[in-house]
Amino acid sequence: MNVRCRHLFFIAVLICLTLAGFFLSLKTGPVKTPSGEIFSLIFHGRSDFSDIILNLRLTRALLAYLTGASLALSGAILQGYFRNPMADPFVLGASSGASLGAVLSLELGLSASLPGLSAQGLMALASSLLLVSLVYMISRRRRFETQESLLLTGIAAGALASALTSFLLFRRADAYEQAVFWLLGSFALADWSQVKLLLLALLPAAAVALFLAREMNLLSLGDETARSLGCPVNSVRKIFLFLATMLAAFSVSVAGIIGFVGLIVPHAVRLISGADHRRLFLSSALAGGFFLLISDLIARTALSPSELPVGVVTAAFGAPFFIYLLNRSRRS
Amino acid sequence: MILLQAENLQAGYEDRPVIHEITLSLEAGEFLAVCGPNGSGKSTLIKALQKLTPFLQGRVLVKDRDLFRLNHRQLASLMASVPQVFQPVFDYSVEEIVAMARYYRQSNPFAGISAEDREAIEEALKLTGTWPLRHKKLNQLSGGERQRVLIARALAQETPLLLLDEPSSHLDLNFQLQIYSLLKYLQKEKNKAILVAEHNLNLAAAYCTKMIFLKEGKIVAGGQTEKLLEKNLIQEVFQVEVDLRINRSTGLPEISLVHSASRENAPSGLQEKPSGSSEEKISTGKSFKE
Repeated sequence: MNVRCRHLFFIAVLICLTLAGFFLSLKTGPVKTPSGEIFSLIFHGRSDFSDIILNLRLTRALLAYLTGASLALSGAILQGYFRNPMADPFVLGASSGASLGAVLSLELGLSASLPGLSAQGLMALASSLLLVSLVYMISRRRRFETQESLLLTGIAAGALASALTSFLLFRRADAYEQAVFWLLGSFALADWSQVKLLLLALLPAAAVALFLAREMNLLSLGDETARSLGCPVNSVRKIFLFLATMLAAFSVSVAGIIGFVGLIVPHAVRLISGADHRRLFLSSALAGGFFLLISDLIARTALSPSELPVGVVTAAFGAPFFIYLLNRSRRS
Repeated sequence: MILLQAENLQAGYEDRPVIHEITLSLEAGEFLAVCGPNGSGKSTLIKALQKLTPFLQGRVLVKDRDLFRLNHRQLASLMASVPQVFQPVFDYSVEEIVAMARYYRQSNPFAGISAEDREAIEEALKLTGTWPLRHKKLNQLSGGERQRVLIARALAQETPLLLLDEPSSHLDLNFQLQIYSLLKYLQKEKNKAILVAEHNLNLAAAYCTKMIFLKEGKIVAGGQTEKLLEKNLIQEVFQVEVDLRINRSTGLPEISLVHSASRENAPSGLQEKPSGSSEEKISTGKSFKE
């Protein structure tokens, strides 16, 4: 089977699995919901459980799906950007910046909020964007702008922000539990405004990324090669960095820090859909959404009635699967 | 028709230009070799002609158009290049790599590959003998195969000018000849203007119509190959003792190193020897058979 067929088959399977995943997510929960109720809600627009199904389970499932898609797309962009399969959405400090912001907002007792963003989320978004911008400006000021200096500056700034976060948490033991809950990532507080907010970030970003996917193919060959093939490298780089940062910062500020998705999903998808970013961007987003949808379903049902942090599930299930995929592809 | 003309070109870094006062011209159907020891500025010259160096000054005309006024897309329609090092991180197939040469012609990102694109890609793959490899991944190929794939990509760009940075490096004798025969064919039959940076003087002398010798970033000599090659010139540029004669069976000039005992005995020999000399020995292997 050639790559194109395999890719199309993969997309088709993903869409089916995702629909099944949504159905399961709507059906599953502490309140027993017969399948008939979901069908009656879909086809007749009414059900005795409509409030639970729509406002609790659907919002949560959608938010998990959109977060997964955003993180995976952000990871796919950054892996191409840095020509490094180890890059992930948080490599430039988006996550460390967000945690610092969230903990600061607890420390300062802020209560301002926007539709879709709590006080913590708002501070997380702001400080995440701020930190990545700082990293970008610092590394640009160096004489020779390289991806390496950007990467290293990002790692260093991330470490600094993490240190500050730990220090704040250390001083305020009472805020610790609340902060840790937020840091581990959860969709328990999902609501429609969060879904809308994330959709507002994801849809335009995905459209632009797909529009520039050929340029990313050229970039991933190396800057000089990209230029000699006619790619306007500098402007394309700026756009992609902006997209990846927005996606990472918005996902973190609505859902907390969920690791692993943005690193593993693009990597795994590349083994199936091939390296071409025109295919990779689309299938990464779809696979990332599916992966987090299922992970969240497991997170809230495995130890019901208590909930696991979704980040624990993504790593626990994703890592073995990923190692299996890697070994299989190495053998063939 | 003059395709490439450089006058008083300086390039490299702002505070440290690597090449100075470079003046050269290249016509369609000409095959120019830029020769010189390592660090003499061969690669910088090739990069400068594509506007890839951080610093660039002087006058360059590409097909009568000012290099500084061409954007990268326009430039990609005029000259294609084969870099010295090419190691993509991700597993692209040969066909995907070659298809990327068509980027500058495609305005709609979702239109895919046109019939014209497909034809150019197929022709490039077949000319370079890489058609059977088209579904393989680049990292499954040998050095010689990879080099031919990169030449295929440059050909698929359908440009009148080809620039190649050390196309024979890392290749054994057989592959070196394959690559140069292919380039010769492109020059003669396709009327391409070809510029190579090459440290293997025997290859350059055998295939190129013109040569330029660089030393410390400046042109020491340049002209038609048969008039230019001279023992003293090579000794001056490379700082080694050489022997130059005409090979009786091929009629081509042949350069071989002359072993000097003093050089081998000297403890500081490593510093004196230009770093290109070991490669020079390999390339002159032919003459030892005599």
